[in-house]
Amino acid sequence: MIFNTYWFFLALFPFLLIYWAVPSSLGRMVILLIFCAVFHTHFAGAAGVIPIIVLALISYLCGLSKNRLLIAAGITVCVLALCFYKYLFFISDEVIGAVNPELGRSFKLIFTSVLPAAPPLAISFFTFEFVHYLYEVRKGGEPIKNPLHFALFSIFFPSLVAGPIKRYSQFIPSLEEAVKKINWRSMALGMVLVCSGFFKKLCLADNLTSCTEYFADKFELIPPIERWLYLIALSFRIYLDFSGYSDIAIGLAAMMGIKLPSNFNWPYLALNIRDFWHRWHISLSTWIRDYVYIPLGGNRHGMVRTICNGAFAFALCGLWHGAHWNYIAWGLYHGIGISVCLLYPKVLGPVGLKIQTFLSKFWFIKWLMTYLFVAFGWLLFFFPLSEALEKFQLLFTFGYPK
Amino acid sequence: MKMKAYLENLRQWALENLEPKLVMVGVVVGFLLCVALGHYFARQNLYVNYHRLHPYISMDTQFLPTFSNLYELVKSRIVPGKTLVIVGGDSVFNGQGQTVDKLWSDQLQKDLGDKYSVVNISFRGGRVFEGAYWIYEALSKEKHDVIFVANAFGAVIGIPCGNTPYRYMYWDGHYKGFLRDFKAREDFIKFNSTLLLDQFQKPLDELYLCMQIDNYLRFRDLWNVVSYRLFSSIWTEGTAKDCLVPRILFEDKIPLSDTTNVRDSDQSLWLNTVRKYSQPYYQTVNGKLLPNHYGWREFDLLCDCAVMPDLRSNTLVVSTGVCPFYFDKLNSLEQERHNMVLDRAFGQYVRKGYNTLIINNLETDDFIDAVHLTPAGGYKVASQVAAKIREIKEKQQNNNQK
Repeated sequence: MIFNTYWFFLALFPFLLIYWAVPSSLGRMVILLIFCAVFHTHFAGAAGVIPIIVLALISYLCGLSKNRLLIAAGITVCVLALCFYKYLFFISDEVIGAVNPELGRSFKLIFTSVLPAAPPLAISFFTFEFVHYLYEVRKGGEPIKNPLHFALFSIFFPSLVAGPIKRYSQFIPSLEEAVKKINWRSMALGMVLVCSGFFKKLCLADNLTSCTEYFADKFELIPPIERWLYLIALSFRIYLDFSGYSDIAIGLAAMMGIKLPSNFNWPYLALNIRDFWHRWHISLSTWIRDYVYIPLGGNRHGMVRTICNGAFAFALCGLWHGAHWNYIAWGLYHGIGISVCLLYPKVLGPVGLKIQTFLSKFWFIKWLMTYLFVAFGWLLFFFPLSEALEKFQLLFTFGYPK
Repeated sequence: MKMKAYLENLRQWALENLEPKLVMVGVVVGFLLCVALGHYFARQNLYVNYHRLHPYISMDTQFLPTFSNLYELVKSRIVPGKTLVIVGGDSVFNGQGQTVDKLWSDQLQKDLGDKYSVVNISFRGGRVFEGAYWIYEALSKEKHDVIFVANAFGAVIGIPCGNTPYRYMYWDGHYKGFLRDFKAREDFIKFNSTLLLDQFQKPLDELYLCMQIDNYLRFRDLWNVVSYRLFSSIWTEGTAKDCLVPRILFEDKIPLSDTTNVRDSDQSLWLNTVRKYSQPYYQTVNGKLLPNHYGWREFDLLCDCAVMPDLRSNTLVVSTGVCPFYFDKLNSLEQERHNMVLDRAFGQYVRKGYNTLIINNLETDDFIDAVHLTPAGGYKVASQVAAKIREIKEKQQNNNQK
């Protein structure tokens, strides 16, 4: 979390005052860009900034060229950069190492010598935004010609670290409109949103984090009912943490008059798993839908292909969250969940239709099933596979293990 | 669902009816009001019925007393015509193992009688000249009659700007202007900061910023009042289900330990702790102990810059030693090393102008483990410390008469 650092607090106020005080649109954009660059450099360091500048330049120039081949090359470079910085150790440790540990170690040594100590800050978000931009331009969209606009789209500080993942076709018009005049209503709303985000993050999520981390390795020692409470706490921890962060980001942008896409819409009120993904991390799920699932064929090539496409897209979504098997398992779990949710009335025939009719009458059962499915999934998200399964078993163990 | 609809309606109502400029003004006024309250509470004594910094009002449960909190607490104990005795040091002087009704520092008050006022602000895990010493230094600006007492183990002293986790208090006092100018200490801090690796420097920079901002906004003082009197906001293992309960309602529940603990406690852990006190200062070469010049040079330097020269004559460093049960378990060379370190370190303290007291008549039954004292052990210490304090006072009076 970068927004709850004192540096940010101290830097933000003078920036906002200057931003609001500057009378011209261009002046506001320049001030905003300077602050974004200072913010990015402060938190990412030179080693984290340079790769992003290179990727941004490549994306900008490829987009300007409108050459489909060049754009495809640009997309490839962005994806390769993400793989290079984020997934090389995963490949050496958990893919090659799982088959041949000795070879895995050798690869790790090689990778250690070429990789920085940590991947560039928010490389996943940058890559997703650049890929989106290039893909849309390749499809015929108008590229961003103004370098100032592109730079701001690339390193816009509120969404830089953890999204929401922006769409340039929404962001640029919003930016152009915002810098024209101060929007007091947006500013006030943004301030309220920032406060609510900090409340969610610092007062609720951080406490749930301390609590769930403390009980994580004592899970088998706590009473069975408290294990279920732990599961609920875990599900709210990630929701409040992430949605709090998104609220701060969206609120900060709103304080400058800029609209960012919303990321959460009461996800735990979802009545099926598809509905959940329309409400959870919306900017990521729509990105995966638009740039992975649909290009793969979506649901246009029969049931088996639909299931495979969904599973692959969600496995990728899991891998995007972190370079470990448990994230992939979490993604697959949701991919399978969505497939079951969509296809069971067709696959089970009349029985499936009866189940569907029954569930449509009792929304509470639908809600409970969805919430439990999602909550069990968080075990996979937070813990290694074996530990997650062990915890899942313990939820249904009435008593204490011997 | 109803809740969601209600919140949506509320949002809609706010959008339609609230005047954004007024909201902004409200936020600014509210913020300034909080700052004013923070400044007000920074000048009040927070604690009620105070005996010591027990776990519920200290770092153990994430309640971090501010410099102002302790300064005002100590100031509230100043009575004209009485000598104020500030007790510092670590868990030994904090009274670990003694219930609040059998606390050694309360016994010290009884032993010293009406002419003295004792206040114990030692921390568990604190060093000799941390926390309490800085309060003593701050008070010395106002020329009160104060004696500072702290316990020490051999040559363990810590760096003068504070060690983890109490470093925050030094910088709190520094940026709020409580501490006096002390060139030797400032030179040491400057030199020490050049040795820090980047990964340690970043959190320190955040700490400095926090304390500088807090000097103006006093949010830590305000929040401590809220946590102490209204509601707490942090979940910790110690407060657990009562994490929202205001700290004022928590009783000092440090348990009374009996002497059987000496044998029951983790002996290897304690033996290693005892060994660590003397290890850095002598090395064994061919069965003989040779002084480690680097370790002693550092001790010498720290003695010079921990306490201001004019405050040393009113500073009493006490050694309560090690439980004989554990001391006997050391081999002869380790025992010799232990004694040599104690003699040399305390000799050095005397040469630098400090007062010292080595208590070596404690028996195994006076300890609950290798270093912490039972109430009986605490009472023995109290009587000897009281005698020494009187001696210091008499010496001062004689000097004044001359």
